[in-house]
Amino acid sequence: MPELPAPTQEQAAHFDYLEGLRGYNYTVHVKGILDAYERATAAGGSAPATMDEAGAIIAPSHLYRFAAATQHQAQKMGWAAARRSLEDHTSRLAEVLDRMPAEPRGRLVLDPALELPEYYTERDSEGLDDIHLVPGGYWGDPLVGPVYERGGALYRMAWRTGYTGSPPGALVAFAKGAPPGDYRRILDLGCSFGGLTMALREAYPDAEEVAGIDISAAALRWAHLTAEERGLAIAFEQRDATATGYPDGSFDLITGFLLLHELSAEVLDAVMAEAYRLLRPGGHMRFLDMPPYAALPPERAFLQSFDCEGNGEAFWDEFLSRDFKAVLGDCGFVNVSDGPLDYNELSYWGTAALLRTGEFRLENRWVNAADKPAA
Amino acid sequence: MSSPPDHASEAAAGPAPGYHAFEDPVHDRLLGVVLALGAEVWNLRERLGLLESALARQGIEVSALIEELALDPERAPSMTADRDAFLARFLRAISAD
Repeated sequence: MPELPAPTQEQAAHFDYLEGLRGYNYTVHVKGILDAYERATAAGGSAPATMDEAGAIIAPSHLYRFAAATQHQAQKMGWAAARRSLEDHTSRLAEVLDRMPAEPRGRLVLDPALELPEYYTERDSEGLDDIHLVPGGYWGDPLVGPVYERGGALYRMAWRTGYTGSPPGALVAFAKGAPPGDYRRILDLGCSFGGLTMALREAYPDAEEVAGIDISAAALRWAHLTAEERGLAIAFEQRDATATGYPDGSFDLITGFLLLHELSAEVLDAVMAEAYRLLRPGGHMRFLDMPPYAALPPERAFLQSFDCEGNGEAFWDEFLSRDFKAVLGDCGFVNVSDGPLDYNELSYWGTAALLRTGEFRLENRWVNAADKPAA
Repeated sequence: MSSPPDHASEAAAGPAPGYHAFEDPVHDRLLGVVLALGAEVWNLRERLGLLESALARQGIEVSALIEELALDPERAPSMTADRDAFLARFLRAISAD
């Protein structure tokens, strides 16, 4: 990615504080919640069977209230700190964002006429924080790319080391996890800053086309700059995944990373129908997202549900409660499967969501896969 | 297309509008104050430590001078401005809508 301006001492101290705060919250508060839960259920005889029952034990505790409030506010402070550290450099960053590569390997295609859906913009327009509490959402701030890089590193508690120069290994492993096949044309839906799209390009260097689509122009611009800097030929195009405009059967492999839980059931159904249309017969589709509540012990499912209210995740509960395999089956997909991504990346704290349960866990990354029936 | 919102990055401490983890939302705001204050205190300690280390590397003893400067009337106006900005930062969680 393009280099970000160095923070001042005061900003660096603030980043360190926020990382420390988050780490303490996970390892002391959340662990304390789980320890108390264990004691309560051991004393009570039968263990709760549902996340609601587990929540009835956990939610009233002061420690849970403090942990939830701290997690929420640390998240909000993190984005603000990331943005503030860049605000003194807006003109230089604007130049960086405008400086398109002279001889790009891939391309950036923006569509200024694209109508952004209301669910994506409505809360931002009211001045409220949106998805993940990013100020201004993922679309309204031209600096969202740099803000995301720095804020995302803070989220992973790794701002001093930042991202590595390549996509995280887990994403490459996920990309390579598709069944053996000749994937000539690959599409990454809702690609945002292009993490998975770049992993796909690395996993399939001989593919004729790797494309990433998103509705945020600012995110695509950052993704394009980052991919070009890494020498990765990717087409980043501003398109809506519910109605992409690509011809039927255009792609051999369709993917998405942390997209599904950002969509309402209605929009998700439309995206799946569009993905079915876009896949060639026999084509493969795979998504990497959060594990459904049903796959987690009830107390961890309850803690996982924090994001719905606490992190601006409007559709988190709806998606993680849904039988997504049935949705795919209803769309006509076959060989529908799901399960944890079997990849242990010790140096990477992952999507951090299950850090909220006090430790890194493999099942934090959940794969949904399916095929379009062969003709 | 909707117009892009103002990104209010200064609204850092305190909960997002409409969110509260405690039954009384006042407690969320108070936690915001505590967390913001903690950030300021950490920064201060970090900065002081760095300053002492920097000076020590130069072989400079500063303790006596610090005592003297603390009561220097010429520093009062800038100290007042700095203090007011500091208070505005860590009390923002209470006043934010």
